[in-house]
Amino acid sequence: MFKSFQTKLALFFTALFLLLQGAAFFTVQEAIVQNIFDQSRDQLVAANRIFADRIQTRVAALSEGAQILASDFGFRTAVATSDKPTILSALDNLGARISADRVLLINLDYKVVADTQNPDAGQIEFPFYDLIDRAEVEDRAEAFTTLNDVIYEMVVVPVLAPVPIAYVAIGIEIDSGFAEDLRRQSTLPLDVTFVTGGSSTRWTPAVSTLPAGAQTDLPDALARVSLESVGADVPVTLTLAGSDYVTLVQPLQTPDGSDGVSTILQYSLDLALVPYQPLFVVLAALAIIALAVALVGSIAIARGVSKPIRTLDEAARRIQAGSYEDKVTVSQGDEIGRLGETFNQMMDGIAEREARIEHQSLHDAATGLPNRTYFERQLNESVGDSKESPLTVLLVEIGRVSEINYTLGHETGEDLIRIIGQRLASMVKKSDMVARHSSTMFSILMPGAAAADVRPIVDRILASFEDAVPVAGIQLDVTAAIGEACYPDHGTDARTLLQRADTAIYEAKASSRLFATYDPDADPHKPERLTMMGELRKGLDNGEFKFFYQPKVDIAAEKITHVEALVRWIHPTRGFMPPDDFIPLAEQTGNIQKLTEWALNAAISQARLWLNADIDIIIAINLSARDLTNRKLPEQIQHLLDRYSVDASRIVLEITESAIMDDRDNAMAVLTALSKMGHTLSIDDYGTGYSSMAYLKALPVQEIKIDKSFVLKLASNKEDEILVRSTIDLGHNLGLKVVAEGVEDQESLDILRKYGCETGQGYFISKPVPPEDIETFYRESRWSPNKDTQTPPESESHSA
Amino acid sequence: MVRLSLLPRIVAALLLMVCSTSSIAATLSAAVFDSDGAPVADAVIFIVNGNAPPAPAPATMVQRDQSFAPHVLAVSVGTTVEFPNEDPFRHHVYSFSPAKRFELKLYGGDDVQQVVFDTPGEIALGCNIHDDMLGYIYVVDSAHFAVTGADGTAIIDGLADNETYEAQVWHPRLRGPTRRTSQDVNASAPARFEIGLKRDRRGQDGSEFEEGVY
Repeated sequence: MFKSFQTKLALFFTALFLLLQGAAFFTVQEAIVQNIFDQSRDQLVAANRIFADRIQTRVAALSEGAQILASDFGFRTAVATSDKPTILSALDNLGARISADRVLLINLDYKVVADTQNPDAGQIEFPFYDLIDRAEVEDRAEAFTTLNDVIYEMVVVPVLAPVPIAYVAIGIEIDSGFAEDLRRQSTLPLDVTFVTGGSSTRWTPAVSTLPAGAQTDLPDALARVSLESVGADVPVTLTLAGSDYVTLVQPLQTPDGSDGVSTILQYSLDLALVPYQPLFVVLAALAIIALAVALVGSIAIARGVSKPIRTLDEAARRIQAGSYEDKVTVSQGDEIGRLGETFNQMMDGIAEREARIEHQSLHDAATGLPNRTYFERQLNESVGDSKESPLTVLLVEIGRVSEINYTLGHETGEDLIRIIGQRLASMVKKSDMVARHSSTMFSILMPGAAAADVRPIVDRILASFEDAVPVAGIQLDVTAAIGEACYPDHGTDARTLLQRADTAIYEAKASSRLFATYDPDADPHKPERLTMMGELRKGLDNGEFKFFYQPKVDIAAEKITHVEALVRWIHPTRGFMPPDDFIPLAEQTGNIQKLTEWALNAAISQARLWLNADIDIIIAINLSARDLTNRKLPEQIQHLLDRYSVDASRIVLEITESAIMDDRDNAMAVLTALSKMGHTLSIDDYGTGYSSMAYLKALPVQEIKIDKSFVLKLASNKEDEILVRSTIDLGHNLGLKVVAEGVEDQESLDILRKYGCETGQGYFISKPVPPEDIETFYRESRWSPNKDTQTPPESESHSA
Repeated sequence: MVRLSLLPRIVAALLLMVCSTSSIAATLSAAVFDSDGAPVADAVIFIVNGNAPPAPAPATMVQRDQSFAPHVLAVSVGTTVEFPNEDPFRHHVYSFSPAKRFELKLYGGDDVQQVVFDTPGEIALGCNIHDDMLGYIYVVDSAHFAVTGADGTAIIDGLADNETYEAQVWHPRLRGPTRRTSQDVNASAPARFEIGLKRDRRGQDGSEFEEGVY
């Protein structure tokens, strides 16, 4: 109720005004009534005096007449002789002469001898002894009396002969005519009432000019009047029949034996107020007009206040909803107007801060480019907007960043990233977006671009990385791999698209172009592949994995010295699983660690078995790129070596070039530790990567392993022979041993021997075999250290 | 007033002379006071059970200066009272008292008016012409009576020594319907009477109106 300010204000003002008006009105009325009351009191007191004078005059006239009669000798004779008929006739005569209503003759024994109203009555007692006694002494006594329930103004005089022999009592009835007469003589329209009774008995109106209803109420009203005000010229206000009367009560002289008689003089306030009625009407009319004005005014003022407040309220709601564009328009020049201006300033301030915060939250501090959150949001929006039109997402991974951080410091690394970011941003269209995706990755959003449209940009980006990047005066070589995912072919939301682009980077890094578009078939996150990973973990526990070992022989001595441990997964339903099918997948999904744990344990425990069996073979184990990022790997290996009491020199660790290149900082640390432990480190698949010999030199490796693609056709391909030969020479020049894998025939072996390659491995020597077969091979084959020349086994077309 | 008070003494002296012829020797000295202790004049004292009254001697009630003199005249039963008019104008003396109702119509100084009072009791005298004139004749059935003077005292002769009599006092303003009071007296000792008086209607005794109620 009364919720709005406007209503409250209007209500308050109206109530206040009504209160004041009411107070004023009643004050005026009270003053008028008081004035009338005072006036009428004076009038009443005056009227009372007039009334007393009038009574005196009448009494004088009556008593004069009575005395004349009383001193008449004939009358005295009649009285003295108790001549009742004569007495009565004389009394009648007197009564008629002075207009008296009743004349009595009373003897000295207070008995009524004659009564003009009851001529035939016997002698009854005259009740007012003191009137007689007073008349005896003072020759005259007068009073108001009640006799037979009639009020008389009564005068008593003695009949002197010459001492009193009787008394004449003359009564004039107080009737309505007398009351009317008195009323007429007053200047005010007074009401005159004569009441009998008094202090101890009930007041009874005998004669009154009051209306009948007022007369009825009078006794009760009088009963409540304080006796102190009676006869003291103090008027009181009585309410009779709903009207107020200013009332003056004047007790009259009454003798003992009579009821009290009082005059009630009254002035009706209603009547008195009649002349003031127009004034009250005018006052009321003024009050109503002023009230209307006050109401309209207060509503107008309230509007003037509440409307801008509503405007501000709406503005506050807009701010709450995050909209700061619509400014508040409060045209008033007062406090509210200033509040409106403050509101606008506040909105500007909030908008600015919010924009700054939003910018901070959506941008990368180092490069000033949008961050991943912003990018994903933008990507989702673009996806939503693009409908059917294509859209391309590129992820650019910058290589060697950790290496630069490690060698030149993070600040240089960040500078590099910033420069690259700026460069990327300058290479794309304005409508494209370049964002920093992670510490080493940028993401590029190209709305409306199909895969084909993106090619030139991709080429430009990749080309830009061919030049060194100048950072702090240093020319830094950095590489980049780019993964691409396209909407709608590869995904319909930001998360999926980014994940697929990320997946494509793996492909890109493996390819020579360093660029790949997402290939669903190669995606390790495909459900069937993920299922396979689950099975892989289960398979490790269930012993589905086995190592097959392929012998490596000392070419010069033609004796077995090493074996390479090659994992075999015999899947319970799929059968034999080629390592290429699950190892990259395991690397990408993080399951490689578990596999490595198994592999290390299996190989080292096998080394122990062979040592026990007096078989002197060194086991080579392949480490993946992920293994090299695990700094705890040396510790794990040491633990196993200790457990099986195997010397580190009996375990060779083979690492691919790319595995080292992926995360050089960690790889370097891990490899250094392993080398220090006494392991021989071997670069696997040498020749497929880009690593320069100079770079290899910096690594703690002792061996390179020429990729089998160069060795397989060594006997028939002259170019391969040159390559192999120069590689062997290079390795030897750097102090490294050289292993050739993929030796398929005697000719190749002879060539390798000719060029001084230390170790050979291939189907010509032996395919990978279970460990128990190695024992046989070790003891009985032509490559057995214990025997001399033996016929090599028949060659196979498969490579290891 | 001095003259007024002398007259009863003369009358009393005359009576005394009449009585002295009898064998009665004792004299009663009586005094009348009102309730305030003031001496009361014009009180009639008479012995109820004394000797039978002797043949009455005439008495006089003079009208002089528009008043009766004496104001109170005591006489024994059968006394003839003369009403000489000494004023230069006429009077119309009357009485409506039950003890003696009479009317002496307009008479002057030349006319001798006589009235015989043969019934004991009080007679209020008035004049029809002059309303203010008031006098009393009190008729007693007794040989021994007197009217008090201004000092409130009176002497009553002819009483036996050491005999107790019933004495009555009458006064026009004495309270009670008979305006009389009775008391035993003995001549061997002065008698003292105390009577209650009503207010004087017209201040004839010099007293003022005590109150004016209206």
